[in-house]
Amino acid sequence: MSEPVFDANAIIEAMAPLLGFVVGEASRGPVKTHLEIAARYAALMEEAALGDHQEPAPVFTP
Amino acid sequence: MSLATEDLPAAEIALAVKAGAVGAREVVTTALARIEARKALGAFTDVTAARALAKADAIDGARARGEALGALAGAPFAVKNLFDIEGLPTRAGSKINRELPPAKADATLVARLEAAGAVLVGGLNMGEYAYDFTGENAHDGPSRNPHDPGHMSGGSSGGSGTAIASGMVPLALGSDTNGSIRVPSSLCGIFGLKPTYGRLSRARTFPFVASFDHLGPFARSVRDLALAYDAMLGPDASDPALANVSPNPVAANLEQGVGGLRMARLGGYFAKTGEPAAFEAVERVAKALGAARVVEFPQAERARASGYLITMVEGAALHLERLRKRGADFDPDVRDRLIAGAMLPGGWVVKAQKFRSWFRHAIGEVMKDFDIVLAPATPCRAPRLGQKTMVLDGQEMLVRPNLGLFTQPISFIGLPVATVPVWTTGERLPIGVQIIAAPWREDLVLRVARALEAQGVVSAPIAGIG
Repeated sequence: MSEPVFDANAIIEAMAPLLGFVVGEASRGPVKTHLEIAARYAALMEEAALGDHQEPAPVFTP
Repeated sequence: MSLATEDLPAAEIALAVKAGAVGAREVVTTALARIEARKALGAFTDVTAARALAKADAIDGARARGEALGALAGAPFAVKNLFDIEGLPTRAGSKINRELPPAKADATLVARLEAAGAVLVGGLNMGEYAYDFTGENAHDGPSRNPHDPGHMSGGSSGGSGTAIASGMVPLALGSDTNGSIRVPSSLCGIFGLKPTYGRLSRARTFPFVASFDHLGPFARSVRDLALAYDAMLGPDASDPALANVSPNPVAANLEQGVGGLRMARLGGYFAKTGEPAAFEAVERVAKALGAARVVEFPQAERARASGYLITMVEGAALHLERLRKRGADFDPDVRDRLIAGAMLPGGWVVKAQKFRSWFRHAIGEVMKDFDIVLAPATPCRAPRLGQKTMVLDGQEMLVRPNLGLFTQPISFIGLPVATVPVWTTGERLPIGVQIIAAPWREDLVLRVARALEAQGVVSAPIAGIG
């Protein structure tokens, strides 16, 4: 087990082929910036004390 | 003597048309002339003149036959170009979508406004695929702020803001996922209503983030917002997110005032990370309403973060195929945000949706003690066109996502909001305040907005354009 490590370049390298994206040189910087913003927000959200029984908002009604 | 209908609110146009003081054709012809004269502002992407004139003639014919006319008879309106307009491709601000076949029918809300007598005159500019708070569009050019055309209209319903503030039409529709009605209302100095999530049908409009997408009206008077809202209410099996709640027409009770309402300003998150003008506007509105108390929405920053992540992931999921095949045809600013969103872990978005559930409950508890809470609509007045970053509380941040930092936590849980415009002597540009209520209480936000309008605390003048 290890602590989560955020590496935007590694994410782009790993995910772009899986998604079928070509991230050109002009896009790499902005995509990294947006990933970094997302990681910052995710860290904030990760600290939220939510129990296992907390339902997600979009509950399906058949 | 001819009536200067181009400056009138929709309600007064309808009264004049019903009384025979002016014909609907004359009203529409005048609006079309102003749209043409002010096209450099970039509000419209499509003008549906032939359709509008035919509709106007039908209204005049109905009046001549003694038939009853609707509450919006003869009032011109336009819609953000993500609404289906029969016969036009629904471009949703994109280059790609304009290759789609023409829409076969109007969006539900367009049809409902026309059923009330309003006359559609065209489609309005918007940020690409609604992922925008600036009103800039890489393909169609920016929708400019009529009060200072070198500045942003706000987005993503930028054309809606421009069209209303410049007096092209008295009524427009837009969408609001994270703030796209409230941001242009603030920057352009007009009234906007984002109803409760699930209140108005989204059928036959192009989506962005299904969890948060709302539709609503813009106007220069609160009565026009109310009349449009009332006309658009009702069930629609074509929108699965529409809630099973009774329609709540609001126009009849608009003048009830604010007596007895429990009101407060939002503190904490909503009282920092903005320019002084944003907080001064809230103070002014709070003072006029006698709202002396301050209350907090707990964990609002986390609500904003969660809404941001859900938007990134759902937005990216919507566009995956287009990103793969047509990446070069996107606005790069939009494409690169979507690409990043596609790369985020699924667990993040599930946790964000769990937090959304928690936040809805927490705010429900807060709102047991208040009927209305107030917050800034934007952290600043309209930035300059092309401006990429801004500094708030000493932090440099991107303009495009952060103009919505005060709107995003509110739409995150679907609360109804009226945005009201505040002006300061010596300042050319306005700034807006959000009037927020508990779910389904559109009647309260519009009553409060109307009371402020009647006091002269807020107003939406047509921009002085040479």
